[in-house]
Amino acid sequence: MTAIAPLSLSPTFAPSRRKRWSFTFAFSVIGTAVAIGFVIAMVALFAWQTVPVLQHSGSGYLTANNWHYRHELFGALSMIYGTVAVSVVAVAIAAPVGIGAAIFTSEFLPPRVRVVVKIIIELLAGIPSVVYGLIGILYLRNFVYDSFETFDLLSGDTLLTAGILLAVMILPTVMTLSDDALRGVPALQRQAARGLGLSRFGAMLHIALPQARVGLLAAVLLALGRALGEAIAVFLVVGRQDNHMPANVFSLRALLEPGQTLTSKLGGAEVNIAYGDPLHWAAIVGLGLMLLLIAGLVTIVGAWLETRGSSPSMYSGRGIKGEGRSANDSTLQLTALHKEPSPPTPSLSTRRGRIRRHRFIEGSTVTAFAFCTTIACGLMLVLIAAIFYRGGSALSWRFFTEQIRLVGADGGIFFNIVGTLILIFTALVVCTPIAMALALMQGVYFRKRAAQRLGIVLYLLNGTPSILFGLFGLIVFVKFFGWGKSWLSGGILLGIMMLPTVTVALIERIKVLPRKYIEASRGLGLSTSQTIWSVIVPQSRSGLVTGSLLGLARAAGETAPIMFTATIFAGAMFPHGITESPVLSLPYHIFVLAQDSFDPRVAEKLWGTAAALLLIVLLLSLIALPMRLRTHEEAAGA
Amino acid sequence: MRGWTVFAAALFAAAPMFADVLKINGSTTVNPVAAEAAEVLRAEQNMEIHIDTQGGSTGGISSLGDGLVQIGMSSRTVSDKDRQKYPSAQFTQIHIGEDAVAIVVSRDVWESGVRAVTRENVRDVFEGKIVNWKELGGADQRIVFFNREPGRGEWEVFGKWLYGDPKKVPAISYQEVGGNEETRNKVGSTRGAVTLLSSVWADGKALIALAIQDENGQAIQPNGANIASHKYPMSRPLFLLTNGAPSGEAKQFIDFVLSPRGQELVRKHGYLSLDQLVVDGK
Repeated sequence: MTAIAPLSLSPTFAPSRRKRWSFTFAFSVIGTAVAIGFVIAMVALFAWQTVPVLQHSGSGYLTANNWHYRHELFGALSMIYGTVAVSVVAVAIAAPVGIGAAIFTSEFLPPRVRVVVKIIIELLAGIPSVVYGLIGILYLRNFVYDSFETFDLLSGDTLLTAGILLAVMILPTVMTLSDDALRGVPALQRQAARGLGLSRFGAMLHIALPQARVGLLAAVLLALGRALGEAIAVFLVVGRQDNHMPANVFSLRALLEPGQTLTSKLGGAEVNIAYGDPLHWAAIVGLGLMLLLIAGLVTIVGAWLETRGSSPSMYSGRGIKGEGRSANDSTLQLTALHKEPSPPTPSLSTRRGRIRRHRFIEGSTVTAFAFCTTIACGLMLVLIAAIFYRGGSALSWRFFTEQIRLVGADGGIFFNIVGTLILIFTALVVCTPIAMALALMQGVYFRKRAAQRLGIVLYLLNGTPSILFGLFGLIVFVKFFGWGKSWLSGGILLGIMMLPTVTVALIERIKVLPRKYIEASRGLGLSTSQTIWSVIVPQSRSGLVTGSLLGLARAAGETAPIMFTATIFAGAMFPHGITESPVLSLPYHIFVLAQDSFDPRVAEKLWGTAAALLLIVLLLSLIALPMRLRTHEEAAGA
Repeated sequence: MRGWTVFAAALFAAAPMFADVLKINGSTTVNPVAAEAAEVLRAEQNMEIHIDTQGGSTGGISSLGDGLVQIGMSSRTVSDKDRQKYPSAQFTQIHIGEDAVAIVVSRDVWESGVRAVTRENVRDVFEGKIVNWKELGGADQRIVFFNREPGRGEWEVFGKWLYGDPKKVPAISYQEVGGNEETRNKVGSTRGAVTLLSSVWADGKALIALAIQDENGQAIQPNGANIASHKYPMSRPLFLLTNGAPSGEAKQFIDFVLSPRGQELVRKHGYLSLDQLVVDGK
């Protein structure tokens, strides 16, 4: 991969100052401004709407444990505790398993198997949260209830249940990002280590892990950000008990009690009740602001570490000052390796017993890592098998072509599929130009530091809890614009949500463009804009397609952003306008029927809907993943 | 890309033009009746009717007040507070049937011998003064109370029955459940569980409705006769709400629900239709 240009094309491709204000540049600036503006607008709007409750409750809003809206008491402490507890449980489970699996995949598996594992994990990441919720409400909560019977649980809805469910949901994030961090360690260094006599395990332990340390930490933090913001699945299994603080926060018993999180409150009925009452509404939006700040902070720290950790210059930056830029140069890396405290090479005179003990430790550690990988892949297969087992019988031609009848007990989900397609198509139209602008800004116009900052904005957007998009849409589109529930607001929100996925795919594609293309274009005397439109844009089309498909897969399964803004339970067909034109959708259908279904026959249809949604999501992901992964690895190696 | 564009264009071109859309939102208890009535009207009258259940009864009232829907569904009467919140709205309540809120327990509680409770019992359970089923004639099992999430009609009826006014309900927090199915699922799978739920949803297998014991020690079952005669204390009317007198498509819809075929749907979903109320009671 020597013919790969660095991330910023600037060194060879610096747009000359006098021609900066081309149409293309203006387009990039506007697109970038829209994305950054959205983040700022969201924070500002939430902060502004929160003011009344701060005047009313003061610091008690954060520190008091009494939320009774009928008595105008708003103390959110127990929700902050719930959010933290649930996320900590999730990370405590997902981090070791995910990192172990990533180590095994990246260091011990042959490339072909590795790709398969990565695809499976990416598919796991694509399972919609409402489907997790469904599995949680029907299986996991009973499992927790029965497994911990000796503790005399109140019910199966506990912080632990939500934490376990979240752990599965963030496992792919931990694993993918950890894998990236490990792959970021140059292969040459491993080879050198092996050449010095280290075992594969030794190379992993002494070369890969120490260097990937920061990247692994970043992976855990970014996953934590995800966990903090998950709403729908948590909502269904956390118990939603207000004002419950355990006697001892640090005892494990505390996790076996029900609780409330910031997100489960925001997903619940109080949002609708609060609107129109300025104080109550401020209290609700304030929860959103808190969530945004907590998740945002964790994500920014994680993103900062990630950009630092995965940057190729990190290693030599530590080892030899001033040589950062040429870190890709293999000779320099080898020099760098020598300057590190030399890794312990096994002495030839070591006693046999010690070797045996070493081998045993190595063997069992690798087995444990392999076990983690098996768990991660196995989960995916079990989940998919379970959903198709329960829902498969509902899948028929009629199911896909008829509309709902008998309140979900009969008929099919035709208009739910139509609605979901309308939403994601709109999202695509909204997202594509902005993503293109951002990618050009990041990949072409921006120098290193500015590009890094923009990268952090992308991470921030990616880490913004999806329920907050819903809340933002409710305030701006539904109420302020007076659109009511409209397919357009749902499409816009989903489009902004999928922005990071598409943009990153595009950037990585631009990153791996052969440098000679650009040199040729420059040689022919093309301007920056001309080069962009005739070389970079056409060449990065595959990045756009794969990124879009993955983004759409995520958008198709989202419930939280559209439940307040775009989708209703029954009756909507094709929209004939913008305002007051809601659509049906697959995830919302599942969300409603999981809570309300009057007829036992609904259960079959419910699982059938889950299976159909999963089919769409998996299909989109499967088409995109192989190519996307290849580009990603190339870009990471660049 | 082109495929997508063509597809989308086809979607919008194929959109049949309907007259005005009738929008309905509110109570999940009324929802099955309204949703099925809408299915009939959609098929027979080619009406376009949107149905949603966001925010339960309270959501129905507020979205009607906000002018977002033409019909609200509610399983409680519109309160003074609602009218204060939407001073310009003229809430018209159209009574379409009757339902009872039952004190519902999980099967193990029923089997341990708990059959009826008094109002005082329920209040003590709610306030945490009674915490074990053995105090109510059952086995030695902790009571697990599931509250209904705010905005649900059941909760308002419950609060009114226990304290005279939902506003006077003391500030106590419990685990909350939302929709009827979620309630049935969670309460049915938890030992010692009790909640308040539309009596229709107590299936007699996983969930069983308790009788309410009145002052004379008589156990009153939440059955049709007792609901119609208002002997059972927690019966509640089911309403369709309009802003002002119903007109146009809203009137058409309401007329259908009040017609024999519509009332048949009310009975089909387990509620009492209006004629049952007249025949059996006042």
